[in-house]
Amino acid sequence: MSEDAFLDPLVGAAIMVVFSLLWIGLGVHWGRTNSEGTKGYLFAGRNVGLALVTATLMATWVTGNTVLAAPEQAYKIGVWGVIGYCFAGFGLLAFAPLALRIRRLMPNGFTSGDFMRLRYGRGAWVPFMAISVFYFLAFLITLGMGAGLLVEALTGLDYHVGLLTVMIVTTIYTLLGGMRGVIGMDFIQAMIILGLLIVVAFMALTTYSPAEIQAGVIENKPGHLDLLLPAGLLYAWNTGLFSMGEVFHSNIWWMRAYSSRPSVNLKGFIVSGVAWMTVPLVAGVVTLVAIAFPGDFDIPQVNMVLPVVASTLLGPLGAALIFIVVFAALASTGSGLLTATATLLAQDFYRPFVNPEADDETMKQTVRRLIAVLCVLTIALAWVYVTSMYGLLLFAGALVGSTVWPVLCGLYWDKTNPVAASAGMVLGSASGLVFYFAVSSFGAALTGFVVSALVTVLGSRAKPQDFDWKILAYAGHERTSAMKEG
Amino acid sequence: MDENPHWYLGETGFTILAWGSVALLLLALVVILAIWVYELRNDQVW
Repeated sequence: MSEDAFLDPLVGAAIMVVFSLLWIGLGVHWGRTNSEGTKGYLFAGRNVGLALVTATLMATWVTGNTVLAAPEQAYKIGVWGVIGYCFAGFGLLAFAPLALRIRRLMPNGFTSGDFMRLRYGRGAWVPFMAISVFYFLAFLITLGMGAGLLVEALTGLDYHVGLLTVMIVTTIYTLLGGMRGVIGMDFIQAMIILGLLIVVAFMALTTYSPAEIQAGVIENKPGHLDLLLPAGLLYAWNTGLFSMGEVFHSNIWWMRAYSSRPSVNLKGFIVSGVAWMTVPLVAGVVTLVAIAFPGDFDIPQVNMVLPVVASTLLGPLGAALIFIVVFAALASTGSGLLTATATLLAQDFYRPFVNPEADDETMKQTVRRLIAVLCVLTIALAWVYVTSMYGLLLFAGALVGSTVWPVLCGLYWDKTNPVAASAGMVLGSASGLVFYFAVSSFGAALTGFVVSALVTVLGSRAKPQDFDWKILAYAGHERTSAMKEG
Repeated sequence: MDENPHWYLGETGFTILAWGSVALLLLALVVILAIWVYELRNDQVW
């Protein structure tokens, strides 16, 4: 157990037990309302309203990192750390028009793989799936490790307690409630995250006025308030592009586009993108108190700066509030990841290659089994903490940047050539990886993004295709025919 | 010698950033809850 924990282990354990029971209970409740096969279980009826769509998008995009790494960046870089982290919200904002188009072109679609298979055929589907599955597995493992580390750092409880609690509770309510349970829970978790952060921010800004904080930062680290900091501008730009790569290819967001009512799709992504930005913004601004008044705050490690500020200002209550926020953020992201990965594996591997005649009920049961398998796999792979695993996620960032243009062009430009799209992903990923290993991980996503754009656009202009958009309406209905055609 | 240009966030700017971000967060919470109540009354939540 850590001696630097902010919260009594018993209080931490009590919070986890109470919220775990609440979430599982609600999972059972929402599971009882699922009665429409995969349409109900995987897409919550495909008619989710604006409030729940906004909340699920926001809560899923708020990870443990958003709550703890954004303040860390504020502490290290200053105001540009705060603003730069907010740029990750552009991923959701930029995806808003795409979500609307996805819903219109593929009203019964299942996954992002559906789109790749029908739009480009197997040549592009293979690299796309390789990138997606690798990204999801890396994300799941790092989420499991993050859960263990954060619970240990905040409460002193063993690493494995956090890992097991977050993964098992999340898996149980996802299995029981399906997408209805996931989205319903995301709504509650979003309200918890927003509400508790307001309390912490209000307490911080009434204890130390913004004028006092500004004066303190200028005195101690004036560069932290420099709006023309070159590193800050680069950080913000890279964060925005990386987030677009993470969102555009990811089945998490495609499934939410398929689940929402068509009339609220665009609005949901825009409102959630803006709402999401307020989370790192507030968490980061509050953290600057620790720069302004360094004598008042003892920071043992920089990624724990927000819990330190909260517990110093509000005592054990502040640490408890931040712990609840982190626990909610981990669970909401975990449930979204499990559902999206299991559905991708079921629809894009199980159905075409294992059981082409799988009916609706078989698909639903397959997704459930895959969610359970993914939980066990994540726990096994995250059991021993390996620092370099975080490098794996950055490594995936070099790959996802290359999917942005094939997705974008494939949705809007009928002349996009499948070979060019496929080559864009392969060459974009390869160049991103070369940059990652030869230069730095910092611009790897940007390299993949630029190379893939050039290859996809120039290749399609050289040999344009005439794509019939009506083919995409088969998504969700087709079995193996499209795969064979590809 | 540092020749890079600098533009430091002043007291007013920082006050707007700090309270503005909290106000935006509160607004996001209120807007989502208001939409939820409206949709609940009109049976449009799911």
